Amino acid sequence: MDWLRHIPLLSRLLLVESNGMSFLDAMPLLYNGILACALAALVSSFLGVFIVLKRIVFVSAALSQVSALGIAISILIGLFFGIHFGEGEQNGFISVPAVVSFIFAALAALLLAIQVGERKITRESIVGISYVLPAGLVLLILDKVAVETHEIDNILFGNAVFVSGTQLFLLALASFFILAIHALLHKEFIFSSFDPDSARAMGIKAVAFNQLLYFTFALAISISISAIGALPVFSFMVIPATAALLLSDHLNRVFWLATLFGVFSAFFGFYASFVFSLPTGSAMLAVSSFFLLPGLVKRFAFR
Amino acid sequence: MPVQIQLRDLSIGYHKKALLSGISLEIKDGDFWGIVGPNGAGKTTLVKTILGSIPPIQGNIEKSPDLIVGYVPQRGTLDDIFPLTAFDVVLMGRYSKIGVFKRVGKKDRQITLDLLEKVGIPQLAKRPFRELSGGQKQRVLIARGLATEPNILILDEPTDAMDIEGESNIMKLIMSLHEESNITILMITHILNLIANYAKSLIIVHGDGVFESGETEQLLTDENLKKIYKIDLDVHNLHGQKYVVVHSHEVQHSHAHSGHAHPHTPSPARTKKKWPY
Repeated sequence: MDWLRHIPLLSRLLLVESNGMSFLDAMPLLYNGILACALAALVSSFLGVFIVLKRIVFVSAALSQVSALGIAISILIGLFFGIHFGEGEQNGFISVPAVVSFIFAALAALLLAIQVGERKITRESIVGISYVLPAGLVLLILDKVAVETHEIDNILFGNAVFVSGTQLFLLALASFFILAIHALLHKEFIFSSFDPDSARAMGIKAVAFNQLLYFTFALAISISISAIGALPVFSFMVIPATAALLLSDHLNRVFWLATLFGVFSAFFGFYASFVFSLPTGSAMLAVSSFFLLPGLVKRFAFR
Repeated sequence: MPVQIQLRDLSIGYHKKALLSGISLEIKDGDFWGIVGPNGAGKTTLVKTILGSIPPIQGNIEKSPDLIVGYVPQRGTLDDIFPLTAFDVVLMGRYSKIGVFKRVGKKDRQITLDLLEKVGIPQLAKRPFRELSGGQKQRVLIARGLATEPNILILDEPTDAMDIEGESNIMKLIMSLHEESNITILMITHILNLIANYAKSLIIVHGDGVFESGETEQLLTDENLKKIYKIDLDVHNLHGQKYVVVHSHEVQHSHAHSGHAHPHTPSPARTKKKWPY
């Protein structure tokens, strides 16, 4: 990485010191974290366009809570049988809590994808219950396993700074899988999201595509949250897409812009958190919110 | 004429609660069917059942194996948040032809442009769909319905909330598609007067589960309509066009039969809007 020291502006940025160590020197330690944040941002921001357009922002919040509940339950059951699912367990190839969390999120996604015809229960209330019930249950479980709260917090809400090689590998694999599905089925996902009735009438299996789309949300959320935490994942799913939608009237450009905003937010947020000793997730969220400004200026100044 | 869709003793509705029952009819190649009725009577439910979106409660629907449907939804059901151009929306109609896992080709793009030309709005291809007027949006959706190369075009209230000029232009477009390309038309509207002069066959869906179908000429008689709607009305012929006029006393006292207005001299000033209009 020594060649980076010879690039004029970049070297000044990279050699900024915090707690007696420059960013460049800390890179080997932070490398996994930076890559994990960038990958999670890329996938979440891309999927975020669907989430914002389908007006299901709180579905992603609910999925993150269900995913956390899966982790908490697996830890509780593990403790009951004397199995320790602490941070050390992350060194194995696949973490049991992560698998359980994904199964929980996938099942919740399939249920939330169903259009409810029931008149007395609104969709909003179902999403609300799916958010608040797991959130409460996670707190109850954490209370029961209070001894290991710190370790569980890390598994539940991730630690964007120190990401294990296994977590990074799983995140990369999941990201590739999700983006491949979207590359192959992009047009079907768009039609089924925009006008499901017409899509179905004109021979597109809209219900199946909608469920598959939700499945990709569940996979992205469960894997990303265990790697970098709930707050940055939720912000990547909402803010870059909104910023892009404020700027462009063309769907393809919106996808590109949202993805770029997300990845830039991850890099600059991570850097800012190192330089100013800030919490990494919150720093990434703060940086991503700056991308809302151009769209807001365009909206209010040129309308 | 070959039968495209056959409904046999069909009951439709939601949650096993029948909205309409005993529906039997045949839709043949080249037909023009109008489905009329007030809001909430079951018009859209009938069409969604035919399309397969809602399962029938009873009876069955047989479709010709070579049936290709072009569907034109109510434009108000589409969310304006989507940043799509008119071209993007029409192109969606090609997706079932292109197939899953395959990319949009040059041919599909050309067909999309040709269809925008056919419906009279080639200049709007790159304009955002959400910024178009109601009539322009309707043309885009009709072009999308045609993009499947259908032999039946099903339209749900295509002239809803349009002014008289927009309504007339859309109906002319639908008629020209029907006559020039011999496409079967199944069109929902809540305006009996609008469809009366275009559709050869009618399905009248009234409240309380009343369902009547048949040729427009036979169905649109004073006697028949009075029997279906149980109100005082007349069917008039003016310059070769049919007009259904509801008597003013039906409007002022909807269930009373005062007989104050002469049945054949409806006063426009006194005749207020009441379905069927």
